[in-house]
This record gives sequence, C-alpha cells and structure tokens, in this order.
Amino acid sequence: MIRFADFSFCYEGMNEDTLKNINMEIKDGEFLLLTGRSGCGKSTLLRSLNGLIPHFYPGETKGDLLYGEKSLLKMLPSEIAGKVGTVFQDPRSQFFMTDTTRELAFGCENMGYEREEIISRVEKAVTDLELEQYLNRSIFALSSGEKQQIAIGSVYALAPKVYIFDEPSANLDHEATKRLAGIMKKLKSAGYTIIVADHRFYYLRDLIDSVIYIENGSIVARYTGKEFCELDKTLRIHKGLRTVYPEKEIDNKQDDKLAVKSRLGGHKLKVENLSFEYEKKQRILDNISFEASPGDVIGVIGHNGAGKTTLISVLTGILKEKGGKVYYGGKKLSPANRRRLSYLVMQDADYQLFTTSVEEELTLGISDVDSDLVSGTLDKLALSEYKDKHPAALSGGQKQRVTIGASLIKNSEVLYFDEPTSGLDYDSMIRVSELIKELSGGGAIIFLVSHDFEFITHTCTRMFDLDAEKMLDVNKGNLQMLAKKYFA
Amino acid sequence: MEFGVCSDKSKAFIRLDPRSKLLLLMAISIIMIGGTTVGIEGVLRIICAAIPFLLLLSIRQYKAATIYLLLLGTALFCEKQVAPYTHGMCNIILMMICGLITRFVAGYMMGWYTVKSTSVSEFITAMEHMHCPSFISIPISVMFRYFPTLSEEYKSINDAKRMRELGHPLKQPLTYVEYILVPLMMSTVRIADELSAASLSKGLSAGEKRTHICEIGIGSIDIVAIIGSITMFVLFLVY
Repeated sequence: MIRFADFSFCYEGMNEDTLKNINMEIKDGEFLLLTGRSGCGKSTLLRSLNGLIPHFYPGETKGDLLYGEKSLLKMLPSEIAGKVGTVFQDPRSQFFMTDTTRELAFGCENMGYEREEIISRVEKAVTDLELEQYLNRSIFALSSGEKQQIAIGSVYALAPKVYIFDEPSANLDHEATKRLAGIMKKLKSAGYTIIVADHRFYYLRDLIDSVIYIENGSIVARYTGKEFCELDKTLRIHKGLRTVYPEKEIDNKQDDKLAVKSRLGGHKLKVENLSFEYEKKQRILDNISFEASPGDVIGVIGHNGAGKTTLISVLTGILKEKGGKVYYGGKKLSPANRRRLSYLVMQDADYQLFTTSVEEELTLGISDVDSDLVSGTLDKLALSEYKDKHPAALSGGQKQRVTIGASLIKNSEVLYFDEPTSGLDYDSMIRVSELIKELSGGGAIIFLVSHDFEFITHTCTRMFDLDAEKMLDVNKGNLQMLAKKYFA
Repeated sequence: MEFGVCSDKSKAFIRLDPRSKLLLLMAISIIMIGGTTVGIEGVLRIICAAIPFLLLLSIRQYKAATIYLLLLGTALFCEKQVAPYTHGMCNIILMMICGLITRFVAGYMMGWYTVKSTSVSEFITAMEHMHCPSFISIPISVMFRYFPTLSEEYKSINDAKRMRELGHPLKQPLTYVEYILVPLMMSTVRIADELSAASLSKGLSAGEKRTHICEIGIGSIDIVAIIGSITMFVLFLVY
C-alpha cells in the first residue's frame, strides 16, 4: 500500500508548491489513473513515487509518503528500483543500452544480481510479456511501440510491485496502444499496482479502478472507474478531459455535405502516380494519386509502416520522389519548389526552434519583415506576452504554436502536421483543431498525420487512406469504418 | 563505427574473448607495419596475415575474407612480379600503394573482425573485467548509445532547417552550423536529462557492484591466441 500523508513538494528555485497537501491511499493491486490539465502536477506526483524526487529533482518536501510502513522519501533510488518501476513517456530516451537483450537485463545488472538470476528474470519477462521476437535486436531498429514494450520488459525483470506509466500512449499509434492495453491488463490480473498518468485514456476504460483528478497541484476530484467513464460531457469538457469513448464523437459530426461545401477555389495540389522506395524492391509508396483543394484538411491514415511519414516527407520536398509528379496550380513542382511552398509542423517542436526569442523565430529567414504581420500572428496564437522569451522556456503547446506561427509568416500554402496532438490535453487539442480549421478557412491545404481519433473527427474534412490508396470524405460512414479498426 | 548486436554464439566457429581480440589486433598491426619481409619476421608476417583471414571465415564473413585475400594477393603479386618491370614515378607509386596495402590491410581486417564480432555489451563487460573504473566504462557505454541518437536527431533537425531554407552549407557555413548546433544541443541536453532519470529509476549508481548478463571468459582458444600473440611479440622484438 502507498499512502500520501499531507504530502507537498516545492521544486528548488520555485516560489509555489507544485504539489499541495496530497492525501491519498493506493491499495495493492489497484489500477489508478491520474489526470488533469498539462502542468497540473501529475508528473511531479509520479516523480515522488519513483524516487526521482528528491534524488534527481531536488526541492522541499512536506508531509510523508509511505510505502507500506516505510517512508519512500528516505529510501535510496536503488532500494526503490526493486519496488516501483517506471515506464517513461519518450521511448527514445529511456534506453541505456544499444541492444534489446542487454536493455532487459540492465536494471538487474545494476542491482548486482548473479548472472543466472538475471537470465532467469529476463527469460520470465520475455515469456510473460511475449517479447521473443524483439530479442537480440538493435534498439534503434525498433518502432516506438516496440521500444516501449522493451522498456516495460526491463522494468518487469526487476520485479517491482508497483508500475508507473507516464503518458504511455503519447508516442504510440492505435495498434501499439492496443498492445499496451493488453500488457497492462496482464499486469493488472497478475495483481500488480498500476499508476498511469495520461491525457488520452480511452484504451484504459476497462481497466481503471479509480481516478484522481488533479488541478493546480491539489486533488480536486476522485472517481471510481465506472463513475469516471459515465461523466457528463459538459463537466468533462469543463475539466479539460478527453473522451473515454472516442467512437461516440462520430455522432456529433455535422452533416456530410458541409465538408464538401467548405472546399474553396484557388490552386489545387495534384499528385500523380507518386512512388518512393528507400531501397530497391522495398516500395513504400506505390503509384499514389489524389487531388487536394484549398480548404481541405486531410488526415493521412493507414496501418503502422504504411508510409504516412514517408508520404509527408516526399510531399514537403524533404525526400525526392522515385516516380510520379506533384502539381500545384497546374505547375509541376520539384522537391525544392515543394519545400518553398509548404511547411511541416513536426511532432517534436524542438527540432524547429533555432533562435533565442519567439519574435526572432517567427521572422527567421524572411528578408523583408512585415512587423504588423508579426504582431498580428503573435496575437492570433496567444503568444504576444512571450515574444521576447527564449523558445526553450515555453511549454510544449506554446512551442508548437511558435512553429505554426513561422509557417503563417512564411505564408505557406500547403501545411503539414505530424502528430500535432501527441501528449496534449483536451483544451490544447481543441485549440490546435480550431487553429487548423482557421488556416484551412483562409485557403490553405492542410495534411495531418494523426492517430488521435477524437482529433481527426473534430478537425479533418477528408482522409487519405494509404492502405486502400484512396481519398475518403470524413463522414459518419467512413469514421465508423475507422473506429472499427481503432477500437474493435 | 558499428558494433554487432549481442553476437550470436551459434554463428561463429571460433569465439574469442574481446581481450584476446584486442591483443591479437595489437600484435598483428605492429608486426605487419613495423616488420621486414626476411628471416623470422617474414614467417611472422605470413602468420599475421593468415589470422584475420581465418577469423573472418570463422564468423562466416566469406565476402570480406575473399576481398582480403584478393587484395593482399594482388598487392604481393604487383610488388614482386610487376614492380621490377616499371621505372621512375610509376615504380614509386606502385611500390607505395602495394606497400601500404601489404602493411595495413591485415591490421585493418583484424580491426574489422573485432568490431563485427564483438557486441557493445561484450566490449563493456570486457572493460569492466579488466578493472576499468566505472567512470570510464559508463560514459563509454553511453557514448555507443549516443551515436545513433545523434544521427537521428541531426536528420530531423536538418529536415526542419531545409524547410526554412536556413543557411547554405557552402555560402553561409557559420549560420549553417549554428542552426544545426543550437537545436542539436537543446535536444541532446533533454535526452541526456531524461536518460539519467530513467537509469536512476532502474538503480544505476546504486554503489553496489554491477553484474553482467553477457558471458565472456578466457577459453582454450583464447589461451592459444594470447600465448601466440606474446610469442610473436617476443620473437619480433628479439630478432
């Protein structure tokens, strides 16, 4: 059992407590969901459970945090490692080793177990979590979902009683999310305590025992799993929570004809027989053809490895096509022309921030700067008060808006978004969705790669299905077909 | 540099300990580069040239072994049979190229074998067995893990940069470097931070002695290799 007894925490150098008087009990075998808006203190709560607070993030603690009878705050990280295991958000940055087998053994090696013991623990993890196919492979050749399964395996080998997952679905597509839910179900039925913090939680709906809602560092609501799944929609949106049943959002989709009507006049983007392969005989894109008009918001969908990112890379001109043509307004475009015409908002905004202030970032690479346009754009994106700040000091959502702002100033006519809602709470998701609708209303052609069903339903007017290689309108029928793939 | 993933035992006929590989590599390089072709040193050279060939065969790198054999054979043939018929500049260039090949290719192939047949894990385990302190072995293991990450990060940043048409590598080299380095440092610092947090939560820096899943050990073949290397060294130095 874990018990927070009037627990507060203040990071070193901060004026205000990030966690305020937390009182709660987590029973053995409980499946707990922590939720709340970005920056509410969820991650801080998890960090105090796995010993990163106070050992990695120094600060001042008040009250106590008990594991059984013993205070977690007084334990060494090595002692906690055998009790509480953590699977972190970003699968790229939680590996210490270069190959999977060694990574699975990493925790055990640190604990100084005998070789035979390590092997039997790793073998147990491999059998129980079905990881055989990933053994003896380079970590760098794995997909995000596969990396995460290895991360869970390496925690499993340490045999902790408590599992912590920090936004585990943020970097996963729907298939990997499904597998993650499967593993969590196994862990739950084996009697482990599981604590998950996530903005998207539809995949946990059959597993959650209880939910803690955090606001501004305090617990403001507690629900049982059932109560939480049945929350009134208005209340849920008021609390900034995502839906538990994304497939039900289809019912709110407006009439099919509206999407077609929204199409505007202007230059069309036409793709003819586009092909791409990295190596011979490994066709990723095979004779793709479609047409897009200004005002279209096109969701690129398809199974994992169907070539969604590759298609975007070719269309933006980052990759050169191996066959086929791309036209804009009837003119054939070379990759360099395409780069000039388009803008890609990457999943990880850090790659796209080059300068020392937000304002500088927006005007970077533009020779004649229109200062009215810049201040107007800053206003529109709610960034005016941050214009002199260093981009690195902004939150994830703000960084993303800065990169969108740069595309507005560059006046790109075709915009691409790669997973724009990964790790975003409801409010931020809706904000991105509204912004995209506004951009498309202004005559831009927009493509987005996303596995966020709720977001696609809210935002897209059309979908390009890479599996069937055809363009679909976003209507109830097509959404239901997609929902069947995602949630069945 | 690319290390093989945890090397597969079933694939190799001969399994050497990373430590004997390093010793052999040293012996072969020194003898091949520094030795003459006459007397006992000539015999040593033949042995040293044969070892990488056999070891490459032992890890089923038939293509590499064939290339090595052809390269060395051609160079020796040119040195002995073709060069005497050439004069002046032509002779100098030919002798130089052949000399370089005959002296360096064996060491290079031995190095290639070492890299190809040793996994990072085995290498680090060997380092720790040699009582290399953890403040050296841990950073080195992180370094191996970091190279592929750096290249992944670089690729993404470069893509982002090309979209903004920032800094041409030839026309504005400084801007080019700046717009690569700034985001690269940002993401590297973040990854390093998250990596330390993750490793701490898995009990690294526990102060206890670490153990290893990878099994390395000195076997009978290693003893042959070690004694062989030392004997060759001694013969090489004495004569």
